[in-house]
Amino acid sequence: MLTSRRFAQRAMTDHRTDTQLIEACLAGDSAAWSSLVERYQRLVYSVALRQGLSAEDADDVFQTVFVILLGKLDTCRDRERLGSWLVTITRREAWRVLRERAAHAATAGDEQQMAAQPAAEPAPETAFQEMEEQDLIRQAMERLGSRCRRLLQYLFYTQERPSYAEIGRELGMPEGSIGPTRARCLEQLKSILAQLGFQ
Amino acid sequence: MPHEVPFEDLVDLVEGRLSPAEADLLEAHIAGCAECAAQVAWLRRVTGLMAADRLVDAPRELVARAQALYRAPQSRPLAGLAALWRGLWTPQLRRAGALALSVLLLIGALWASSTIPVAQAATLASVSGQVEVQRPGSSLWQPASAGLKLEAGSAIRAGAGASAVVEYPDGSRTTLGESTQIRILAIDGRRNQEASTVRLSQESGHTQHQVASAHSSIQVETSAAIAEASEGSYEVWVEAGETEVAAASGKVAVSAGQSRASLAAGERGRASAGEVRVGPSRPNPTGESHRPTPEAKPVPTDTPAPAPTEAKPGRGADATPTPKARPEEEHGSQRQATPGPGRPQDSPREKPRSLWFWPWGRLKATLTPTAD
Repeated sequence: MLTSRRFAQRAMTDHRTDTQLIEACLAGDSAAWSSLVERYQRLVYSVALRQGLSAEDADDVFQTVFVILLGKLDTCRDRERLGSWLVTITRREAWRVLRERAAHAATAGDEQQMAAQPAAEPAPETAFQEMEEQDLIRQAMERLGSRCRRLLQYLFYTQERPSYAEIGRELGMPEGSIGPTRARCLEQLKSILAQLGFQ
Repeated sequence: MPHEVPFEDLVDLVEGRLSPAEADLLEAHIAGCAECAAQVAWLRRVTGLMAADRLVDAPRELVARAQALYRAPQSRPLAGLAALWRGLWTPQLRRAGALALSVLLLIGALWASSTIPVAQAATLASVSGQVEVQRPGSSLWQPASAGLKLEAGSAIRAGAGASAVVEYPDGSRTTLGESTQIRILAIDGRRNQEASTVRLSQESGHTQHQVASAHSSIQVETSAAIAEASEGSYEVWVEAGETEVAAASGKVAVSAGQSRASLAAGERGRASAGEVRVGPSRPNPTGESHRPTPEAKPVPTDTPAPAPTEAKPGRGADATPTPKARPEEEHGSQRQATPGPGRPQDSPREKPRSLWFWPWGRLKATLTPTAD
């Protein structure tokens, strides 16, 4: 049995560009804001965790980042990559929290220092660039048809690569059509990624 | 060798689905085909990123909370009804529509008059000197004058020597001192009560807050702390990463990181680096010559601190033992948050307290004399 571990299906993917969503937010469209949050929730949350925050601190940073975004929508309008800006803001906020924790621990002694340790080692610099790209690929995946999305998900997002026979059973596709379909889906993904500014 | 290699074959190569002989052949071709090589490079990169993808979704309630941050600048609750009315504008349905609409309106009116929170707006009650306002979602600062309506999301700044008073629908007020900037994050009211729940963020300067009615509250968030009061009045100073809160009357809950404290009238709390320290009121109430005083750092004392009682985190504001309040000095002096004579000068000999709450639910309190 195949498990689709990371693609929780959302009701609808908003196909508007970041700039269009921001314009709509500024014009009073609350649905556009919801779409924007939906689009970047995964990236912001993952970066916060990857920076070494506990789940609780990641929650706080998550909220702060979106408060900042809301306050700066006007200046974000023409930003080429909203994702990389959000990564920067999230990392900055995460650092702030970690610094506060460290300062706290320094004044409070050893016992507390244990608790103030980052929940995980922060990731190296390149990891964040990678996460931003991974998120962009996810955004592109969400814009694919469900058949393509599921196929690529089984082929490339699962740990142990399932056989074509297994995938065929799971998706109700003849085994022989999986190879050509996969190639077509990747080509679609490539063109969507190009539209999203993935180089 | 064919010039056109099917994309499918390239995918097979990248996925390792070709036999070694087929792979060698294709690799040899790619070496001389820039376009093929670019395709293969793209495939390797993207499938590699996919395989290494460990991104996780944020918890749904967190996403919902972030989505709820947004409040439309001009929300028009009747727009939907107007559209409905137009849809019903056919002779046959007009009568039925009118009836349905009046029922809807009646239900709406009943609903609106209940205790459901509704977004409210504040008013710039008075202005002195250079005061500017930034509308929600805009980056433009515009000169402001008294009487201006301020929706949630608006920012207000007072320049050097300037001041401004923001009044909320329930009569609660926030006064901005000079060189001060705040943003109104939210104002919620209840229609059938004279009450407002106000959330502000303060970037800089000095503010004073007066809570007018029993069901109201004013919360101020700064980079270092969150202060909230549901009665009385208090002041907030933000300077160089430090936040200082002084309770003039009533009780103010201050939190920074995991640290929480409750200030009684006449007390001040200083928050920095995720910690709140409570002490007696500041000697200089104007804030003009105020600088955070580093010499106020606590030093260990020979006299052991009285053992604090157990307390649960999260309920810190109420559970925190507070030094003796001096309400008799505070009554009727809300505008003068920290009156001058007789009080603060005696403070150096008083013992400031440091209170920490830790996640696992133990309260630590130390009583230490000041360094000076």
